Amino acid sequence: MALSTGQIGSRIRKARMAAGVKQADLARQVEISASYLNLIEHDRRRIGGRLVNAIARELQMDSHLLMEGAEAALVRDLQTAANALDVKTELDRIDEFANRFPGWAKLVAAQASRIDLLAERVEALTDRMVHDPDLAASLHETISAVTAIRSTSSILANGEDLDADWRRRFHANLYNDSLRLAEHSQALVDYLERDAAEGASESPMDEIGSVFQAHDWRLASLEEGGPEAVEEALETLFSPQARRTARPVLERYARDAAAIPEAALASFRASKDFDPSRLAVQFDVDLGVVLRRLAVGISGLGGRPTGLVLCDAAGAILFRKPVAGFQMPSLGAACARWPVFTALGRAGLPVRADLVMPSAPPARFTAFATAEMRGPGRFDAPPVVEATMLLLADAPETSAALEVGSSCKVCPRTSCAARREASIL
Amino acid sequence: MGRRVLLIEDEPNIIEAISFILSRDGWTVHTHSDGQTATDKVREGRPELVILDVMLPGRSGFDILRDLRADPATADIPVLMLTARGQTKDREMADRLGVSRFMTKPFSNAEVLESVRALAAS
Repeated sequence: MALSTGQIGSRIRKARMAAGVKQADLARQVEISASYLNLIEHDRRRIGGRLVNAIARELQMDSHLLMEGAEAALVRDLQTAANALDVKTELDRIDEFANRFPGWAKLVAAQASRIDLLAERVEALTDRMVHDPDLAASLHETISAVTAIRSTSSILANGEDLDADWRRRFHANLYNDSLRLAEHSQALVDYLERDAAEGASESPMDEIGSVFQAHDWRLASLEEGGPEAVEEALETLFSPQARRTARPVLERYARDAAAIPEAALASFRASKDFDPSRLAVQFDVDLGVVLRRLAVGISGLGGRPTGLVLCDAAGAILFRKPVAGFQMPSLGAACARWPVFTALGRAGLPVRADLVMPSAPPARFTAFATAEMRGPGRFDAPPVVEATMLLLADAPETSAALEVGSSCKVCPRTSCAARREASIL
Repeated sequence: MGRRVLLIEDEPNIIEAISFILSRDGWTVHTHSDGQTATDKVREGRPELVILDVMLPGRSGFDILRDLRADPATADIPVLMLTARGQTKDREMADRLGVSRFMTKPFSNAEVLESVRALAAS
């Protein structure tokens, strides 16, 4: 299929130059002549989908970043939809379908993306059931009590020749376990009820999270449009109530995207052993910008999923991108041991730390955090400081890992020096 | 002196019930509740069989199992693992680490006896 030329040539040119690849080298890698690539780059030749893919592969970026136009995007979405389910479709006539029935084609694409979104939510919920330390601990207690009761009661019920001492002991155990069971099942019910109540109304902060999640943590219009695209994105993506809260988030995103274009991140993303400060030097930007840019999207870093936390000088969380296993409280203050808060206390001195969450098995992360001043300093006002923490999942086991949690309320680390309130577990 | 089994579990009432039924079956039951020191306890005691809970204070049963399998002195001891959650993920993990057999809580006393006898015979 040949794509309409549009700006695709100049996109390729820009991406190639950002990656520091010579025209002749790229042409050789994708097996075309340098002069032909030159014509393509100046939008004087049409380019086939296969060639776009080959070029995207060589430049280590997503091919859809190179493509443009609603038509191409629609066809790509249709192809994705066709591959998702085991139904035979007329793949060779996909253009014809998109052209003759644009409305139906859009519906198919929209449904496919909605299915993806829903599947992701189901997965997130399942994930939460498995990883939520609160729920897991509560279930564990309940099952432990039930196990003890089952085993003890069956000894008593079998009517074996138990002496009076043993009988008394087992009866006492049964009684204590039944109390424990009552208590824990009540806690479990409370937890589930609270959860249902929270789910009923979405706060602006939750809405921001939902919007970003629905877009795979990458806002295409801001990647390309920069700060000018913020207004439109606010209007199209957010409810009127959430716009005020979302505005600074989108403005920050647009500034970051303008500072470090996406194409430049591609090769960095794939590497397993990296130091974000190298990128900061290379682009002459604050380290926080690099950490936020590296957390964009869902492809991860060196194959490791990424999470992100932004907070202000009071430790209030401004933005969060969750990563499986790293429980972030939706209400109230987070664990004081998170490196993002350590960074707040030493602005300008970044923190790198290995973290371990109290889940079973323990989830391990690598964290990079930095706190930075926003804007120039003033004599007549306190500085505006923001801290950023990038999380990388699947960190290797190390005995030096910092023990952290979600929030005190649901944390089992009873002897933690930073504890501010009792755990309900 | 009967055959020796080491029960690594932190719930006192489960310990009491399992100890009771295994003792009746002719086993000498040693118990241990701390995850941190569990591996040392196995090395010192050289039990014929280990019953290991997944959720332990100090250290997870998975980490303990990994250490037991890595040490030639303990690599061959059969390990019966107690998982509170019958999650496939937990099972896969334990399988990879070389568990001998599983038992999902809440289990029946008959299951305990059957599993322990089967492992001891193998």
